[in-house]
Amino acid sequence: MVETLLPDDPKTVERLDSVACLFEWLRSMPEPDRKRFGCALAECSDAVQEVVVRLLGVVKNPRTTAVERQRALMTIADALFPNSESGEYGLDLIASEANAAAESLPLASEVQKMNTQEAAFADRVRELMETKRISQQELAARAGCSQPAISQMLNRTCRPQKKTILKLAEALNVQARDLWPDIDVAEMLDAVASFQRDDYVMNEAEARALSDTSRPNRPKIQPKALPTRRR
Amino acid sequence: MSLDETENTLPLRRVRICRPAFQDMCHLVMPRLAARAQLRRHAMKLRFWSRGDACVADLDCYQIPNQELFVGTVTDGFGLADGFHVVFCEEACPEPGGTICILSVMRVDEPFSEAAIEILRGREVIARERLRGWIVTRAT
Repeated sequence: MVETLLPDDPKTVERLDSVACLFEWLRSMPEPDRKRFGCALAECSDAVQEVVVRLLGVVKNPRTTAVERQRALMTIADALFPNSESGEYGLDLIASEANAAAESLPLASEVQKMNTQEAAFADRVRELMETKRISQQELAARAGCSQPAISQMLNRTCRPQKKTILKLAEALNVQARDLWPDIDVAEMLDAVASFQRDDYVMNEAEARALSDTSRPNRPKIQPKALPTRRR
Repeated sequence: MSLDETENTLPLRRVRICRPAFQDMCHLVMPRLAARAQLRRHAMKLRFWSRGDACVADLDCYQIPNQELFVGTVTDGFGLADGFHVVFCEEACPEPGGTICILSVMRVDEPFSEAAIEILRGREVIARERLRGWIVTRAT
């Protein structure tokens, strides 16, 4: 009888575990929250309720990492409490950039900076293509990317990634910084960021440089004697 | 050798980011406004994406096996991440040209574990249902 009710199927067991977790969770909530949670869950479709139950299983699973647990909880919150302010699901990525820039001055200046970088890059590539008489098709073939990608970058509808800038610089036979003057700064920032990673393992040269106290950071300018003052 | 060549004629789609994906992105690159703005701009390239494309502009794309989920790889690293995976799905609604919905933004070194796939599938179900439901709301 019990076997009929609870077949020894891992998926059924997993689901029952998730449902048990849901009840456990509900029991642990204060009364008003429990009611709110229950109402929100009842308003969801069967498919979304199923998602909530399954994700509770993910949250409960001891093998789930902290980041995954956080993601599962954020998803449950999204399922139960949709943001109905605009009546649309999610955020339009293009509109959101303009809206965010309008609200935040630092972000507006970042957007402005990106626009300037992209415009300067497009102008420079266009100029080089004209000088070297290279077509978009030819440049795409040389750089190993598609012609629409080149066209999109020239029309400033796509921001190039660093790897693309390097490829295009090689294809046009110029330095990467000729196309994107900030590229060295970006590389330096990346290097600093990677150095600060928790799991970063220094290579031998870096370790030696850090432990080497015999060569302090002396200025390379040769000191000069100050001129004597005439009295 | 004119520069006046065929411009891009690929269909444009709306790219929407769901709230949990936006929270993922904020957690990954929150302190750096510049990084967030740049990541957003790279993700905007997905509006040129069509099913089956292995590459959109300069983003490499692939499908997660046995799922209706796709991944765009941003190789530019910001902060402590060497790059990002932008996970998305395609929904025919509500726009006539279809909508690309970003479901998650992950560090490039994060594995697509069983739990991660379960979360992504959950987000996909929610996104599809709400994107379809939106038409009904708008029409009424």
